[in-house]
Formats: sequence, C-alpha cells, structure tokens
Amino acid sequence: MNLSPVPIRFDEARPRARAIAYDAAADGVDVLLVRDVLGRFTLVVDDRASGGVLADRVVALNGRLAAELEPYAAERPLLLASELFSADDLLGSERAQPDPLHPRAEGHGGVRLLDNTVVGEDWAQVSTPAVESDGSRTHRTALYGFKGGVGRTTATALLARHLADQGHVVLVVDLDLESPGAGPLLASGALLPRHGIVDQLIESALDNADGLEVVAPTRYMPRAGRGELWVAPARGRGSQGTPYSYVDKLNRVYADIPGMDFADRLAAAVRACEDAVAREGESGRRPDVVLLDSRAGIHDIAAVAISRLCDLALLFGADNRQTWGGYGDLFAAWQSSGQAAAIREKLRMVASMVPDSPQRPMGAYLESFREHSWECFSVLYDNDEPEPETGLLVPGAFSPSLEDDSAPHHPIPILFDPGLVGLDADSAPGWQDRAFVQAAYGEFLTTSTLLITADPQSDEGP
Amino acid sequence: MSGTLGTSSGASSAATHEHHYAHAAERHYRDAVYLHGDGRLPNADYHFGFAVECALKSLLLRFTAATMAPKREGGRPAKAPWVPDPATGRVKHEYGHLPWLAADVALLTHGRSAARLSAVLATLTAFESWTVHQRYLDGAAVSEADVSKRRTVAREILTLHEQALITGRLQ
Repeated sequence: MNLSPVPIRFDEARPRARAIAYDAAADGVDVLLVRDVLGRFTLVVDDRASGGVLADRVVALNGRLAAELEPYAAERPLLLASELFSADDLLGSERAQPDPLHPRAEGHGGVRLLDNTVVGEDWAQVSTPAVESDGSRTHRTALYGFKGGVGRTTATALLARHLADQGHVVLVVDLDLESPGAGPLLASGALLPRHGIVDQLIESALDNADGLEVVAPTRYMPRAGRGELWVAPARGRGSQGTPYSYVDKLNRVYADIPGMDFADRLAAAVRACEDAVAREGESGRRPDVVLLDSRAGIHDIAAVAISRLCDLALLFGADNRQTWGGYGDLFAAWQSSGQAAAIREKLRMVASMVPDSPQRPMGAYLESFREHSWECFSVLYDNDEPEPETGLLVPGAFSPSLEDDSAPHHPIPILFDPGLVGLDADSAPGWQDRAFVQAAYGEFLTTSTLLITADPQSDEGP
Repeated sequence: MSGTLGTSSGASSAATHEHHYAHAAERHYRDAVYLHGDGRLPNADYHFGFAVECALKSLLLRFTAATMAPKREGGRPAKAPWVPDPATGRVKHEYGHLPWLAADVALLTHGRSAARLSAVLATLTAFESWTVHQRYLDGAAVSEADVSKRRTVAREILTLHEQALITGRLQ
C-alpha cells in the first residue's frame, strides 16, 4: 500500500507498472501492459492457454495496480484475456513490443508493452522501405532537424542539385506541411504543380486522387545529361478562380481512415509522387533518389519520415543544449520502446552552421559537437563492456568508438558562411564551383552522396 | 460475472454513470448471446439493442460534452445522457432508446480516428427497426436473420467500447 503523501507522477508510474507486470508473468502467463492516452495502465493477463488464473491472484494483482499506481491505474486495472471481446486485437497488435528492460526469464511468461498516444506512435514503429518489385532500389533519405532554422531546407536543395548533377533522377518531397519551404525554393511559382502533398492526402482519402498533378520538374539543368530534378511541394499552386484552402486541408490530413492510419497514407502519398515522376517525365524513369524534407521537432510527419519512409536520416543540429536535449529525448524514446537496434544505423548527424573564426575555430567546435553527439547516441548503442567470462565483446554488438568517423554520431559538417544567406534563389549554372559553396558544403555533398547511394544491405551503409 | 469486473465494481456507491453503462452494456450483451444460443430470439434481440445503447451512452459520457447532470439547477440527475446548448444551457439533444439517427452519434466522430469510427457507427442502421417496446409484443416479428445481423453489430460496438476503455481513445 502506498501511504506516501507525495502524489505519483507520470514518470514514476511506468517502472511500478512494469514491476507488477513482471511479477504477474512469473506465474508463467504472458502479460501485456497497456498504457492509455492519459498515461493510465491496464494489465492484460493472457489466461487463454493456461486454463485460468487463480481468483486470489487476480484480486491481489488488481489491488496492487490500484494501490501502487493511484491515478495511473485504469478504471479496470487488471483484465483477463479470456473475458475480453477484443483479446486478439490487443494481444495480437503489431504495436505491442517486448519490454526491453525485462527479457523473458526461464519459466516466466513474456512481458510486452502497448503504448497508446494521441500523436507520434510512429516513433516506435521502425521499418525500412523494401526493394522495388523490379529489383531496383529507390534511395530515400529524410533530412530532419530537431530545431528549425539550421539550414536544413537549403541543404536539401543543394544536395538535390548535386545528386542530379551526378546523373540521378532526384525527387524532393516537401513534408514540412506546416511551414512549406522546399517546394517554393526549388520551383518558382509558375512551375509549381497544380496540387501538393496535402491534396494527395485529402483526395486519396476519398479515392479521388487520379489525375492530380503533384510533381513538377524544376528549371535546374543538371551537369550530367541524364540527371533530373523534380519537386513535390506541400502546397500546389491551385487553380485560377478557385480559392486554395490550404489550412482547411492541412487540418484534415492527419486523419486515420479505415484500414489506413496516417503513416500508411503518408507512405502512399510519397509513392504516388514517385509514380508521377515516371509517368510525367520525358525519360519515363522513376526517381532513384528521394529526399524527404521533414519538418522540425518531435512531430508525426518526422516520425513517419524517419521511422518508416527512409533508409537514411540526416539529423541536423548545432552544438548547443537545445539540440542535444531534443535528440536525447528522442533517442530515449526509441530506446525505451525497443527500437534502438532498428533505428541507429539509419541515422547520421549533420553539424550545420559550423563556425570557423579565430574566436571559434572549426576544429574545436566539431570536436565538442562529436563528444556531445556520442554521449547522446550512447543510449542507442550496445553496451561496450566485454563479457566477464570471455573478455570479448558480445558478437554483433554495435558500439562505435568516439573516434569512428563512419559512426552515426560522427558529424558531417556544413560551414556557416555569410554568402549562404540569400542563396535560396541561386540556381545559376556553375553554383557548385563557387568558393563559398565549396567551402561550406563540399564535405556534406560528397559524404551524403556516398551514404545515400550506398547499398543499405552492404557493410558500407550509413 | 467475471472476477476482474467484479473486483473493480466494488466501490459502486462512488461509481460514475459511465461506469454503470459500461458494465450494463457487457451484461446485456452476454445475456443476449446466451439467449440467442438457446434460440430465444425476441429477448436476445431486445438485449443486443440494450447492449449497444449502453455502450454508446458510456462512450458519449466519456468522450463528448454529453452529461447526466441535472437539467435544471437543484434538480435530480438526468435519466439519460443529454447535451447542453452552449448558448442557452438548455437541452440541445437527449439520448433515449435506440434507434438513433446517424446525426445522433455525429458528436463522437471528430478527430484523427473519426473516419474509422464513422464506419463502425454506420452499422447502427441494423437497429433501425429495433424498438424498446418489443418487450411488450408477442415476438413474432423477430427473425433469426435480424438477430444475427444485430449481434454482429453489437459485438463490433462492444469491442470498440472495450478498446476505448483500455486505450483511452476512440478508434
């Protein structure tokens, strides 16, 4: 019984609930700990195979949950699967994850966790896009910054041009729906397609997306003849005479529809844009490189872009508390939902707006960045302590050292240069050779291109 | 009744209206299934309807502005959920017995999962010909096909209700 006068808060509830779940599993039954949208816990005991749980045990567990979790116990804190209508839905949910802190012990049942949130569930659902049916590979890269204003969209535009220069068919998808940038940046107004990603999401919900114009070629002329640069903007240019209600559409795009949640719908929208490039382009080629300009912050679009849509995520940041605090929270969420191993090798830090002045030399700045980045990533890395009996690291352990320059935490630098301000409209031929572009973006463009075009199935992946 | 539900209904004096509706919904459903299994169609049908009505009232009280508060100051608690008009505070809509119109449950369908929920609630049309007065009738009008259809819908809505209680959200 908890007699403490101090109220139980959100963070204290989970370890307590897990401890009770683990005790319940010690009876040899599988249990599922469900957290609801307000943070309250229900423990579902799967008694269907075991032929029942003793009534005394049920009463005891129910009482413990209510007493130890206080407001964080659900109205019915303990449920037996045999008495539920929806036991199969709950216990068979793909969203239920094994508890990473409690591996299954001999003779115990399993403990799994099912978290229900209002937004952001896709952070805990990591997967990587599959190879196309014809065996070709579309390289999808998300560009993300925890904080905005770090030059992410400008870098996206330059990287897209660079990749097109290398002969790739590049599609930039502006997923920053709340503050579109890449669309207008890459295509001047007249060239924007009639429709945008929001139109694709709205119309496809009603099975009405055929004939939408969601991509447009940019005016950029790549150096290599075969390269192409396309853009799928968040907002289209609309039709003359009909008001374009961007906000009214935006306020509806996050809807789940029967059979498809928002993540499925966003994935389908990106694919529709890729198909449109092949359909509308003179070459008929599908994009082989897709850059997803994700929005900043811990947001659903970013969650889907990073967790599901891409095979590489470039994480932008500056060496400051805001950056590391934010990435620290995000990485902790991946770790606690059991996603660390699935996500970490997709990630790569980009140090943006790196200073280089006598007061703040670049070398020292990047060294400090790398140390903070490594500390932050360590929650996603495996333990690097050797096994006591053998003195060897656990086979297959992923635990890069601070110095490892191919590790996710190792920053790819972009230098800050005053010449970059106002670069937005700069698509003139020869931009690549300008000294300040070379100095600021040279390493970013080269390294990112290598990472993006590497076969993720090989050892040379990011 | 089950051990888990029994334990949590111990504090019945403090239990809320939505708590009672939730338990009543499950009780009516289980009794209906029992009667249906024994071929006792008229009362099975009657209880499937009540199960759905109680589950929806539980959801309305949990997720919308519907309330059981007295309709006028100092009065007794309402007998069914009702929605006050924000301007006047008077009764804008009251939820009685089934059948309900689609518009009656529109309050529940907004937000992210609205489309999915709408699809489930659209099946309520199965209760269009159901009436609370059938308990006074001879039962000759109740067909096996109707009861089976209503049982399917009741199960879907009871499942939705159960999930909403566990996850804290409607979908």
